[in-house]
Amino acid sequence: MDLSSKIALPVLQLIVIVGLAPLVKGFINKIEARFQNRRGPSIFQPYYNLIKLLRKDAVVSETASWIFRATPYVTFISILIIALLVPVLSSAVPANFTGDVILIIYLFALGRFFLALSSLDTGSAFGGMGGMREMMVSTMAEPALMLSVFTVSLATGSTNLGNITSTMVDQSTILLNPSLFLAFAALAIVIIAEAGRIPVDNPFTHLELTMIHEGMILEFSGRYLALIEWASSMKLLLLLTILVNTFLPWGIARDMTFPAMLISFALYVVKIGFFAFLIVILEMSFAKLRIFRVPNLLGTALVLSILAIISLYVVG
Amino acid sequence: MLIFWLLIIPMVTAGICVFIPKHSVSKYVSIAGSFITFVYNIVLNCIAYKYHTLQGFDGFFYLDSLSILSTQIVSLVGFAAALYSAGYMEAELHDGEFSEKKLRWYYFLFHMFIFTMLSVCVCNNLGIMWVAMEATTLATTFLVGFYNKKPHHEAAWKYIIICTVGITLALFGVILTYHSAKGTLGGIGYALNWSELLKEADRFEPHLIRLAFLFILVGYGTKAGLAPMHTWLPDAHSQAPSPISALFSGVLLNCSMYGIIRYHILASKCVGAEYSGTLLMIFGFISILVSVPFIIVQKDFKRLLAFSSIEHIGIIALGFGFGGMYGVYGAGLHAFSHAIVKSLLFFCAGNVFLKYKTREIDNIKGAIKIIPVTGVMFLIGIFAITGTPPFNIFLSEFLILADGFSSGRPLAIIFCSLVTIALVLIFVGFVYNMFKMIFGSSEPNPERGEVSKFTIVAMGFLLFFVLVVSIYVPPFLNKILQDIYDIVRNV
Amino acid sequence: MTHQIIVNSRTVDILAVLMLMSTIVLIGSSRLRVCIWAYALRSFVLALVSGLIAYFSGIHHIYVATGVSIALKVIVIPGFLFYIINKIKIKEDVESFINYTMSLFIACGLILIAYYSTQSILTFENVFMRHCLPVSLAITLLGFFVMISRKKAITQILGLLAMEDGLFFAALSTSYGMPLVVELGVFFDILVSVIIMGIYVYRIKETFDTIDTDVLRELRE
Repeated sequence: MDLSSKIALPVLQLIVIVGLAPLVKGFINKIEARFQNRRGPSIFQPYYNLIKLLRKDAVVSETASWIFRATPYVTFISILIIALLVPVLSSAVPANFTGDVILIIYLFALGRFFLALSSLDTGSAFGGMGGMREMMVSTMAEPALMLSVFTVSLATGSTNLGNITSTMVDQSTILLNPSLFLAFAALAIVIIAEAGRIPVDNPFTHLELTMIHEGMILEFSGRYLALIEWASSMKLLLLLTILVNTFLPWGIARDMTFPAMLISFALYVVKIGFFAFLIVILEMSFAKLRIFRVPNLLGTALVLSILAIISLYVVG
Repeated sequence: MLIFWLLIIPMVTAGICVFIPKHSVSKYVSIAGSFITFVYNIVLNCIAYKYHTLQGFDGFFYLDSLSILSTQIVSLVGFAAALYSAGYMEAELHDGEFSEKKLRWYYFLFHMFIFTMLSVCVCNNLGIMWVAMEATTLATTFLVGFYNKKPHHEAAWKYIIICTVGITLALFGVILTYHSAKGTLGGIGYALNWSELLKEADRFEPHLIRLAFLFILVGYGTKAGLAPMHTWLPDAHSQAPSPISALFSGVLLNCSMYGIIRYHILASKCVGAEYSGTLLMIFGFISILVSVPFIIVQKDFKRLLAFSSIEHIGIIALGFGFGGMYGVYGAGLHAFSHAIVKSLLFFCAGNVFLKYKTREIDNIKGAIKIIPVTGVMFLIGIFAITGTPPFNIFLSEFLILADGFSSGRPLAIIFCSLVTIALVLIFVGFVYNMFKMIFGSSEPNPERGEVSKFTIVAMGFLLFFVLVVSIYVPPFLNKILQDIYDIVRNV
Repeated sequence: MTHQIIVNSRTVDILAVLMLMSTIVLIGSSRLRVCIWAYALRSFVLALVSGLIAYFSGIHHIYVATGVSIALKVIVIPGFLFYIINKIKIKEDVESFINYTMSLFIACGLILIAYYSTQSILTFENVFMRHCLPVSLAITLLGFFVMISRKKAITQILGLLAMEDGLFFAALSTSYGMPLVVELGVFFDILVSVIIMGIYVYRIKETFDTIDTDVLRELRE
């Protein structure tokens, strides 16, 4: 890749991810409202919210330490780095070195770690509860995520997401491996857990008994809240991107030519939109699980991912 | 075609019995039907005996000496049970335990039960044999839970669940057999016929056949009452009506062993008799050991008889496991003897129950004074079943143990020594528990006199066979048993 | 017949994994109705598989087995089970002797055992159908596990049906089904046993007022 594309690609990817993330959230809210026979907020409402929050003052508790103030930045920047590691529009990834799947998982974990710490930092009861539940969910979700991504790595022979994508595009018949179906199922459940959607967590509620993510961010305000909300919507987009570009990578651009990138972008929007739609359907069909049943669901995801990797290893 | 009629007769009897509302008529129909089955079976077996084997329906049916023995046991005990049912069910009906309408279903299921057991014994196709085995479970579940009360439901539920699980495991064995046969034989139609399989057995893949036999042994062994899969047996055999208990203990367990033996023969030809024989020995031995403590501390006499059945099936398995001439001969003779003696005992137990209305041993005293004929036959039965000379069970147990001791294998010798001790303990348990019931006296006594004549006739019929075979093994029986040894040894 | 018929299809493999997933739902779900729907789904996928195998191998009698399978296992048996549930009006919670997460992990272990133990029996001809035999053994083992670890009588019936499904699939994928007579006999047996068991569930509910098989402990020693 020449110098211009070396600069252009990361910038382009960042713009797409950072810019598109609130739109995805707005889209989900709008469609859900339509299903519930309401008019619903505008698709661009999350943007307006972010702008509003950025202009407001941040109020910080007296008992909070530096962790509280650092967390929004840590979360946002870690997600930004992940945005550079994931193939979005092109199968060539800006920061391209081996083992980056593991790095992605740990970057997600870093953000979550700081968020959980900060929720304890202010000393509020809701924060601690939210943090504890988030950790419980992640205990089961993270191994499942790792194992299902490793299954794909095993099938394509690389842990570099870019290589995985390009291998998938080249040899589509790998996708017909039944173990990958199991990995897909596990990954889908994990995405719902990590992104904090129904049936694991309710993103709309502010009732103390039912919130996980909302509980952790209860104390943030102003620009801190803006960064954290932006980061969480980017997290959802990135998880969907990983899912889409690993399992359904057709149409992704192999080079940096303008027409290929345009087609890739269009297809990308369509695929993300489709999965967002599926999330809406899922949210409409199921009630939120009671908190002690969440490990059941995640346990199923874990089992599926274990089976995916073992069956791939044993049977081939 | 001849064999086909053997199966039709009980089916027709079942069908007719459903439509007859009055018990006084249906009992005679049932007795007639089972008598015709019995006689026809004798005729068929004579023909088969003369020609050494008999095939029918383009290889679908197959009768050799093993089948002759098994079908004869089914029809003989079936006839006796039909006779006994006439009296027993009449008495229960009189006491108001169930309605006459329900009794029709009893006879229907009774004859369907006989039909399914005969099917198991004459089928050549191993898959259809499996279907017939499962059908025996299905036909009898309602019979076990015939009296509509709590313990009966529990027994019936355990029975159907455990036996169906077992038979499903056996299905896996059948599938494995079919798979290995298909690889060698090729064709789809013949690949499950036992007679064809036997000819090609040494070309099958040993690993698959070993696995298949293990599954068959565990699966059909569940139905046969081999420990540790026997847990349903005491409940089912004690809660069912007495004639059905007799059929269960004497005949159904036998048919299940028949299925196991057919696979044993195949496995012996393929991988040698050591593997399947040792497995049979182990399961048989465990069954005998398991039954000993339960017999000694038993409080319900029908359960005691059920545990005794477990012990005797263990002895039969041991005999086939040893595999020598005396062992197999003894096992075959034991199958026959056990069937008739155990049925006799269950009939006596049924009579005792009819008289005293309880199954607890402690509540029954002085039976020999109240129901003298039953009491005497009970006494003879107890001595017979525990292997007291000069009865037939003694003969068969002696032969089996002799084979074990003389085989030279250390495992066999250890098993035989422990079994001998177990047999003594069982004798003690039986005598201690049963004699309490037969002798002694207590107030108040129920009125003197037998409950029904039919029951006496049925028991007398069985007693005749017990006494005859104890003293004299008829030459045809002798030849059949020797033939069985030849079949098992693939000579 | 001397030539070997080999069916080599990726679709069958994927459908096999779908069947495995619906059996995992059977273990993982806590509502009785979901379990029965999972059974119906699995039977439907199994019927699809047998139809596909019939199509690829050209053995026409498997079509008959497919048809009977759809009629019995997708329509009649789930319908009958729903009918029984409606009639006995119980709390539709799946109760188990082992706690939930443990049973999920045991299920995982059983499936792994299935995969490892069939490794040596895998044939090298049908490269793309390698998941079939492990999946069929896994479904059988899972059915057996459900039978011994669940308390409610209806779930025991479902476990039994899972065992039969697993074995049917094993027969189908390794030797393309058994002779038609045997297969029809097996179907008939399954139908009658489910009906009898359903009737007994009803009777147990009437006498004991619960279908929790934990109460069936009167006959001891």
